[in-house]
Amino acid sequence: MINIISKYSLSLSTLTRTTNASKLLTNRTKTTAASNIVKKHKQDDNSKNALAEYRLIYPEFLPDPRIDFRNSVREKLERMDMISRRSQIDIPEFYVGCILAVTTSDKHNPAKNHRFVGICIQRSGCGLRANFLLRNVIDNQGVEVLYEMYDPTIIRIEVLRLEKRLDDELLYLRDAPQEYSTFDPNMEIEPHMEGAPVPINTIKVKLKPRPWLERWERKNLKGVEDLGLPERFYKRAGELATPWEKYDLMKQYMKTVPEEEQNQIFAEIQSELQNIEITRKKLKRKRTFLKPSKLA
Amino acid sequence: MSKLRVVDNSELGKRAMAEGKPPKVIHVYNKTGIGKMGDTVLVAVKGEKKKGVLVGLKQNQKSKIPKFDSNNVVLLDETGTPLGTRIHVPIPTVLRTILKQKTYTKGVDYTKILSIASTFV
Repeated sequence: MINIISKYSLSLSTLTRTTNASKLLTNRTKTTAASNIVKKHKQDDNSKNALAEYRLIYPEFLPDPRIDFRNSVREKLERMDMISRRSQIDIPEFYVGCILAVTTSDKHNPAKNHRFVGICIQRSGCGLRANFLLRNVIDNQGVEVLYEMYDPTIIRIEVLRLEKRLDDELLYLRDAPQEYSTFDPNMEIEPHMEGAPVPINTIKVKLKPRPWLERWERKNLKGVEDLGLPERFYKRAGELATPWEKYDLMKQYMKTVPEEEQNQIFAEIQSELQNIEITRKKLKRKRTFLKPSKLA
Repeated sequence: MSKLRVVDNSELGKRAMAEGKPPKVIHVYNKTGIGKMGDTVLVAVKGEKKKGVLVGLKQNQKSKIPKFDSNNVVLLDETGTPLGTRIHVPIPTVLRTILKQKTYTKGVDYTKILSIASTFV
């Protein structure tokens, strides 16, 4: 027993040392990189910022970072297809936590277009396979529908409320009371100023008591109220947590697309995206014009 | 044996749900034995054997097909007509196609379920 403990502490100490070293290393590389950037590209700082924002607005243009899935030609062709689809319909900027309305043509009922309103609880996939999951409660029955973003049967995607939540996935709404995921299907679009920052909704959800679909105490959720579990659950969650992973540089590198590559991808499609944005703004201005109800 | 939720307004189903004794699947009428959307099942409900049709599943579905928070069933009688007169939860639109394909002349008319549905998603 003592042996094990001493071994553990030893490994821990080595680990902390390595992490410290890695921290130092990253700091140094960061500072050198930063100074280089300042020296070289002071003039095109704005365009770089715009490229960095594309990462958040159009995450599906970035490829899957898994090496065995990479294929530069396929990725390029996919991006071309995505741009051509985006020139046909308006796929707006949205995040997990937004309330969306999706209108699709329904082959099972060809006479009618089908419209579904719900909160976006998950975004996944990249390239043409990008998809999002909407959730709503209709007639006291929780319903979830998965939509592919580049599905040709989609007629219109509207963002009714643009906001972010504290978590990257809201799958815990399945274990929350229904009022947290109930939205009026006839909801009107809440106005959002062009260029204003996306508001963050800091609502804390109170989950129903266990049993749950997943062990939420292990997920490090921020948008959930105190779960009220016995001590042993948090103890086990602490044992299984991997707080050192954020210092694992190799893991980070394998899980993400490098910044240089991201900039290259977005620089390639920047002009097309801007064109699409301009046409969208024009259409929006046309749509938002309202006849004054009262004459002066 | 999976427990289901009766979503029509049949007297038997309402009583079973109110007493907290939901119907249990004892047989699925297909070749895989796994109940999918629109499959007919045999259920045990309040000491009786009844047939029913699955009209909503918890299982992950393909894109544009809704996934529900509970496994929903509509009870049928011996002739294949629904026991209730109304379904009080949304019904997936795929069932229009699935149930039409299942129905043939001189067989059970499953499209009666569509006519008692209130909303489609």
